[in-house]
Amino acid sequence: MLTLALFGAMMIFTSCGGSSDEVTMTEGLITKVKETQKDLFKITDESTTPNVADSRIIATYLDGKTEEFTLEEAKLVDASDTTSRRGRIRSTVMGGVMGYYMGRAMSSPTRASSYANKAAQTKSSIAKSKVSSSAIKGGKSGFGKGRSGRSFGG
Amino acid sequence: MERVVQEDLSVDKRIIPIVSPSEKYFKTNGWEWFLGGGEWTYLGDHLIGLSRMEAMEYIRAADDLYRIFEEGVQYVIDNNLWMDLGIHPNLVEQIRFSWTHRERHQHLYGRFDFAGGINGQPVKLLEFNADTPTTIPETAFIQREQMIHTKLGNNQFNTLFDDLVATFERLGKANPGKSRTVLFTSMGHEEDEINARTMMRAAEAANFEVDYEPLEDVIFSADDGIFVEEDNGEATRYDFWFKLVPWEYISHEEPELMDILNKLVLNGKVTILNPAYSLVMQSKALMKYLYDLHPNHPHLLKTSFEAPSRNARTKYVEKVLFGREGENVTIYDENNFSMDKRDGNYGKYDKIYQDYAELPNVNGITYYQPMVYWTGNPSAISFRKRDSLIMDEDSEFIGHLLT
Repeated sequence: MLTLALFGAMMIFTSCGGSSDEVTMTEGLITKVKETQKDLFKITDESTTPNVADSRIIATYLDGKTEEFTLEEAKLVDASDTTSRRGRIRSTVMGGVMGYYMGRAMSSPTRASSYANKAAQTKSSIAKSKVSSSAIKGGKSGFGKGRSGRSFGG
Repeated sequence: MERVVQEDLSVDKRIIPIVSPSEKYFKTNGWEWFLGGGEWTYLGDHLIGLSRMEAMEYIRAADDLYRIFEEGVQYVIDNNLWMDLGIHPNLVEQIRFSWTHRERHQHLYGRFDFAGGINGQPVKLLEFNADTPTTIPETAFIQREQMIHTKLGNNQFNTLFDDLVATFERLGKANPGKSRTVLFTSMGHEEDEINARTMMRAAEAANFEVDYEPLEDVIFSADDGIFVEEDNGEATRYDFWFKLVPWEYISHEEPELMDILNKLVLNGKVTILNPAYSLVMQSKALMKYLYDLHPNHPHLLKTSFEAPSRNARTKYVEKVLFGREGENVTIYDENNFSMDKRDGNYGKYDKIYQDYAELPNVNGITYYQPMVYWTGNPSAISFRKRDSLIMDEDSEFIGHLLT
């Protein structure tokens, strides 16, 4: 079994030798979205929180009011609903890191159009992947050993 | 050795003495290696003055030649010239793949080595270091520090570091599905590590998470990716791998690693810098085909797989396809006598024969070889200096000043 923690130590990515991978969260995520113009939502910030159960979406509307949804509430919104406010928020956060929590494939990158600006997306894309070293399949090292006495630059 | 004095390539009136930056400057940056030791000195005690017009000629030549090298890569691929270029069959598929997807597999940087270019003499290409060029910190930072420390103003053609940051930013944008994590690797020689770590600074400035690890300590898994083991039993995986390890070394000397890298790149698990197609540009045999395609090109020297006949009475240079630091190079005069020669460890590679081109020099004794860094555009000029025609591992680094 391969265990990968992505976005810091946020997700456990499990693979049991097959091609289908499942994602399990080890940390929670708080995604802030803002209604930048009527019915248009953008992600302004994504940050981790220790417990998955504390994951939530904080929406700020044009009138300044805010509303919070848990991850479970967000998942329950009908994916095909693009007309309601919650449906639009769901669609936006699906394009961000929260999308991985809601079932989007890990191979699918975040969408620039979901973010309010480049900095917000860059923050989410800076991510180290960690793995238990004993779980690396067929990992080999020691290449080039003993050949370090000379420069290989040009 | 017969001394060849060419007045029109003389730089003796362009020597601009400098005051060396302080030892603290080098120590602060982790660059004590540049200070040398014993009788060995690496950093010259002067800059070379260049007019803006001369600098522009070098810049234009690099700009022009890079497009021709790109054309050359396509020509090699279309005509399967791998054997002629000395490229091992185990690298071919990755070269084709990285070239087809070069928007994602970007060529980060390279360095053109020139002759000529002074006093209105034509700029001539000696070779293009497209895979693992060094002299990055000297060119990007030290020559600038030498200029400023000597209070010579701020007149250099040198945007190398900023341009390297920009190349990493472009790389990140072109690979939106990958995490911005890049591992830097060299084979342990201090000079190479310093160069790799300077590239690491550029990536860090472009918001990549970075680390350095010598090649022998990097974990390669054909299934899972490229990793560095941490102290806590975990390993960190990197989506990008910068290797100051030549492709021809990996393909010829480490075929098992080559096989793993092929799988990782072709399966989209890792992006390697410089990409595999940079080896096509690095092979000196490419210059033979470039010359065949552009025989009248102002910056290309006639290059062949056969030495010129004695009757041709031509000065020429014999080089191996993949050689470094002047090793396995011989320069012949019109009578086919050796003017300068270096033995070396690269004799197993095939050879090319290139027309000789004169370097800028002082009295035909001290020679200066101009270099132009390429990062998607020309980024900096600097020089190597040696009291011989061949620039070898004892060459000094010399900065420049626009006058």
